[in-house]
Amino acid sequence: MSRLFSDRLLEGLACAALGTHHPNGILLFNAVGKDMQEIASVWREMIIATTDDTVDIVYLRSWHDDEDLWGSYLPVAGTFARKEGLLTGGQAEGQRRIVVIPELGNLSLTAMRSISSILGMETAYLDRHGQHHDWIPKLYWLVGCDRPDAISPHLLDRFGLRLHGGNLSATKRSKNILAQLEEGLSNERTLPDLGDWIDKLRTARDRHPTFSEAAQNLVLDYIDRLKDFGSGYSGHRDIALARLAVAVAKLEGRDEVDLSCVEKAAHIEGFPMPKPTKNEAPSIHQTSNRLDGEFKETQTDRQQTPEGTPVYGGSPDRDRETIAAEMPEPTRDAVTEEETSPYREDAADIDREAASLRLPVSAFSTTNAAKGVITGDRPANDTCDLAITATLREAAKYQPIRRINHPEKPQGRLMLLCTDLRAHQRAPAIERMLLLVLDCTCLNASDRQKVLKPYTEWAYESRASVCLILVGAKKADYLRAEKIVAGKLDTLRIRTALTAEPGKATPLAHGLELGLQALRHKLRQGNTIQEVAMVVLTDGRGNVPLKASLSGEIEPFLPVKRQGIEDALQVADRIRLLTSSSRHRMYVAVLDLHAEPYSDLPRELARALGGGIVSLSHLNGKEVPR
Amino acid sequence: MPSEVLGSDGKPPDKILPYTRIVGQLELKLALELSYIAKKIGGVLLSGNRGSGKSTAVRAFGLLAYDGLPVTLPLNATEDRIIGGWNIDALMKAEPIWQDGLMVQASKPDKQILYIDEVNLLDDRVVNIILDATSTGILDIQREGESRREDISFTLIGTMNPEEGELRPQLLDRFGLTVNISAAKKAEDRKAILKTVLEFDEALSSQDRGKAFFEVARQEGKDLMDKLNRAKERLYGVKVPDPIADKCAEIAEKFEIESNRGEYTLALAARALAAYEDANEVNKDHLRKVAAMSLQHRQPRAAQSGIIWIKNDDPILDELLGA
Repeated sequence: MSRLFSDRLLEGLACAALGTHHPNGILLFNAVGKDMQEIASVWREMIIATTDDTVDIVYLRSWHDDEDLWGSYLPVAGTFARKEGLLTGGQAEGQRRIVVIPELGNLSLTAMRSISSILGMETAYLDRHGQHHDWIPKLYWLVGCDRPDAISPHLLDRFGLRLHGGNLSATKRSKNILAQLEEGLSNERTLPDLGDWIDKLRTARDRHPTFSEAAQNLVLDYIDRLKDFGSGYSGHRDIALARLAVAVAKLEGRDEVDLSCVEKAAHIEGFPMPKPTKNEAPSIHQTSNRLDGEFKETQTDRQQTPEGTPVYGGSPDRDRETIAAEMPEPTRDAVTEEETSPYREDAADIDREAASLRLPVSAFSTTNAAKGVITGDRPANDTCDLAITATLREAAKYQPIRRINHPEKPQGRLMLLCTDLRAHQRAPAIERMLLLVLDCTCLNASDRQKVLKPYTEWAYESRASVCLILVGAKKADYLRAEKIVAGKLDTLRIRTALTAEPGKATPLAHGLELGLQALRHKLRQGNTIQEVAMVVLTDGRGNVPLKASLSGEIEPFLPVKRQGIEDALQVADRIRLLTSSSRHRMYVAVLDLHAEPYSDLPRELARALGGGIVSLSHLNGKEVPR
Repeated sequence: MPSEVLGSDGKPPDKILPYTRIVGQLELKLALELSYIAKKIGGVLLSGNRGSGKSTAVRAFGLLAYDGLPVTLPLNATEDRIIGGWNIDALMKAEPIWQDGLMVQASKPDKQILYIDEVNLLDDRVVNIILDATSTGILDIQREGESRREDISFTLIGTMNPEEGELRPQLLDRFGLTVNISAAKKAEDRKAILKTVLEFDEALSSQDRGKAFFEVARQEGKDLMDKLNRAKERLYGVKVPDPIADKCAEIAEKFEIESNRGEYTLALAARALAAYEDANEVNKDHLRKVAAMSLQHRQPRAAQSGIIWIKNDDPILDELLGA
């Protein structure tokens, strides 16, 4: 048996490979950026074992557009030929394709819309640029999802099977790297070691177990239990769990899908397990020897330890390394998920915009039309924002005919007519910006998230760019603030920065100075920004003079006194001068925590900025100790 | 290009649950069947949350009624495929071969349905094309050096999830009937659905297993189509008494329906229902059964709060119908 990943993940992959689980979409939690390649390789071998087809793997990335996904015409040997797209290729007779999406939340809107139109469909349709095809898709989806709260539940619902990521151990990782390097040298694909899974799958594929009445009832019970976890309901869920149970029965060589098959299916997906009563025998999953190295809970241990505290199996006196050496090399599920729902979108704090799969419209009637991200092309009447490739592609179609119709024209040259013109079709440009000056020393991270929520929501929903100035973060140079710029809120850097630990000093003046620079850049350099929200979360107690921040040195033994504060007010004044003369719509606010002493400082700062005050008196007393 | 294209023999593989085996969803089925009996109803919009079986029902109905999957307008469709354009592969060989667009394809006698899944996610440009063409029934093509005029006539069927936004009122008005559907929540209904799907999966797993299942479904489908075709033939033989026609106008006025299409669709849908039920004339019960699906999306509140028939609408309707 392969010890690459936990049995649970391998069982899930095997069930999905059996194809009983239409649509063949696996949503992988806690796997983003980790081991997707290895998991895809394992799954490929399993699918080959069940279908005898060849299987290729493609990756969908954030930059892929309609042409990449659905195919396009490319110049080939003096003419144009169709090139299949990521979603249309690899599906000829005897072929199948795994589509890997490392993080669903990173995909473009174009790609999200495309997925929603093909994933889970019995028939796929392509009607683009003179092509019409309909076919039964043979795509298998392996999709990482760490942020279900940011993705349309309509799209997530298409994924019938939810599993937990692999998390390869360091040893296995290094073995894999070596194997890949070998592969590069020998030019041959190294097959993952799947132990007896291949044989199991080959035997399982021709089994057709019946489904017992009791097992059907249990399926409904399991789905009903999700109500305790804030679950909504979709008709797909009963069916998805039942089909998984069928796959389990096939793998286990059973003629009937019974209760244990449903229980195991629920375990694979991470359904909350029923809590056993005192006299009830533990369920199969509690008694089975968990090979994935997780903590074990035992009835006897429970009496001797505080309630809910897990204990290690084995003797507590033994040296930990000795135990580790004797045990099989562990792989771990990333989180203990016994008490969560696999439908995480139900319980997630909704962070997505409404109608998130719709094409956005521009909020401003200005000339930003030619500045947004390209999402496709459209017929055009003029050469403004000309899509050259699309125009040439359009013209290419007619060259043979035009050459016949116009023998007097030079035959070796492209004949272009105005009806060939194509312009770029674009998403609206980024028109809003959130400039957030965040003083990490004034409030702890969790409260910070709460007070900033209206602003982060605004930034998310209006697809604003974000400029985050971190003041007094632990990991930064204590004399300087740090500027982080991102095209959107929902990036790892911004999310991590919002929860930065407080450091030793508060270079507020430098933070505002960086904010001033960012504003100058955005407001004066003719970009697409129309509206800026500048939000300052601070208690106003800057204690690093601007000079010290700029020079990177602080004069020893010289008392700082109010210099840090005065410098901050001066910079704020310059920000006011800049914003008051700007044509942009500005919102400037200081969030006032009413922190004692010096509770008037935020008001002073707001006055200097020419902005307003948002009172947050209810948070008083949760101040970070300085 | 994928090789498993539908139909070496022009027929799709039966991987879609047969229409007659769909459990529950009576309103949805009624709307689809009425639009078949009375084509002038114009279309059906099915609005419902995920997992309620909307798409399956439409495709299954297309398979049953027209012996093939409905012409489907996908989200990825480009303008030339919707309106029509040159066959590019032929064009490259200097052979100008015109290729009908999806709207013209859907107007052919053996098709008759244009299906748009996720209709609320369509690009505005595509919506405008459909609105322009369906409002007149004529598709004037002046593009790519070609000049054509095509008569178009199809039943527009759309499905959407209201979580992803509502439809523009102009497009909403193109649909004769709308149905709000939700996934079955009662245990017995869910179990019946689960049982059916498992049976269907089993039936698909081998020819022997599938024989009985599909034979029953085929016979049920034939019986239903006989009934629908009978109703279609006698549709205009069913009388709409003057008081009933007056009632349609009165109901439309009471529910503040601005478009005249509201009362017309109400009367036509009631007539189709009467034909389906083998009645000789339309009565108030017929009106009651089709009022919500004919009017709810044309009420002024539909633009603000979505397509919805609220509890208070029923007593108003009862009062108007003298219940």
